[in-house]
Amino acid sequence: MGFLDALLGRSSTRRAPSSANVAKQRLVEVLVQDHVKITPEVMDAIRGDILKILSKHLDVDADQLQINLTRTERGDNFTANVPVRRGAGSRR
Amino acid sequence: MGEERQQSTLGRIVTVTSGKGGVGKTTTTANIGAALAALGRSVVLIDADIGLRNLDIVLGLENRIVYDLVDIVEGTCKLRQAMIRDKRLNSLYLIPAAQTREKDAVSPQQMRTLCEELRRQFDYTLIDSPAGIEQGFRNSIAGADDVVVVTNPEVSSVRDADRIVGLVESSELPTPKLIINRLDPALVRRGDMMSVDDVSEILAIPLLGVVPNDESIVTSTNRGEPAALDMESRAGQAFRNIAARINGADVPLMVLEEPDGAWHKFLRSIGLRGNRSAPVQGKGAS
Repeated sequence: MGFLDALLGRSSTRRAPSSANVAKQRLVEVLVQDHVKITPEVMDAIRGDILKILSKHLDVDADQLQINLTRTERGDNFTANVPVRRGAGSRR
Repeated sequence: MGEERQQSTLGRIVTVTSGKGGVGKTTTTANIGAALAALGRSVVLIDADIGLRNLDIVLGLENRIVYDLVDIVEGTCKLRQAMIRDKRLNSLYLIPAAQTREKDAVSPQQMRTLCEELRRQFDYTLIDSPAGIEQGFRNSIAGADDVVVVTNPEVSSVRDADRIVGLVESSELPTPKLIINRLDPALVRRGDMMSVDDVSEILAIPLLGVVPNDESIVTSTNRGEPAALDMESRAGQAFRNIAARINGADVPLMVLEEPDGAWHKFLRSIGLRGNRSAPVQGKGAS
């Protein structure tokens, strides 16, 4: 952050997440992997299987599928965020 | 000799460890030990980093070594012969690591036996663990009652600390306690260093203390004089607070977000802004 930015109260961290937040996020993700002992290959396999099952019934946007292992206070959590294309409905 | 404990209760064995090297384990061990001794407790420090002896030089005792940890467990010398009394504090002792031996020169069972002997003589036995998660680490926690994990607020040491927490928890020891070392409040404020809350949240173990990054650690280590004995040192104050907590006192965390301008330094120098933290008060023998 330059002097002028500081003077005008502009912060470069306002646009991008702060490096501390990036560090925290990366740590949370890697620790979940350390705990659950899931390799990126296994995550990819899970992603493929989810897509295979869901696309039997839904018009799924495969590129937008997000799967994550996250750490919560109650334990490690697997989440999948699967966008479905609008208006397509069931393929059956 | 004076180190014989007056109380009939047994002392506690506390291991200081970290996983990653270079986070300040040895400095932490030396300073907490010195601060506990300054509170009037009898303390022995064990350098369990066999082959990489360092606690002696941090304490300024490097010229007094005759026997070491391996000599004790092998019976080459008596326990008392290998214990070096500190120059400044007469209730503080050091058992140095062997410098020319391998880590497997000591077994976990030998460490347990040694700890049982030491807890009859000292209020506190602090063990400075080697970095890593192998034999040396396992030896260092074998006889411990409690484990303290030291980390810096950066990704690699926090990840390694997490690994250590898992290993300690799976070895039937109580949940370890956390010391966050080398925290830079200005970097945290700027969003360029993880905060105490960030690190505590990730590791999810009780916080024992936070030590600010402080030049006085460099100068005190240069001289072989623990910063905990320097009443001007902020890191020293943090270590004194940690020692008091270990000793049972309820000491609040230091306020690290103090303005540090020239004016405040001046005020502090003339005594108008002293002690940025609560006074350390030991709890007396129980």
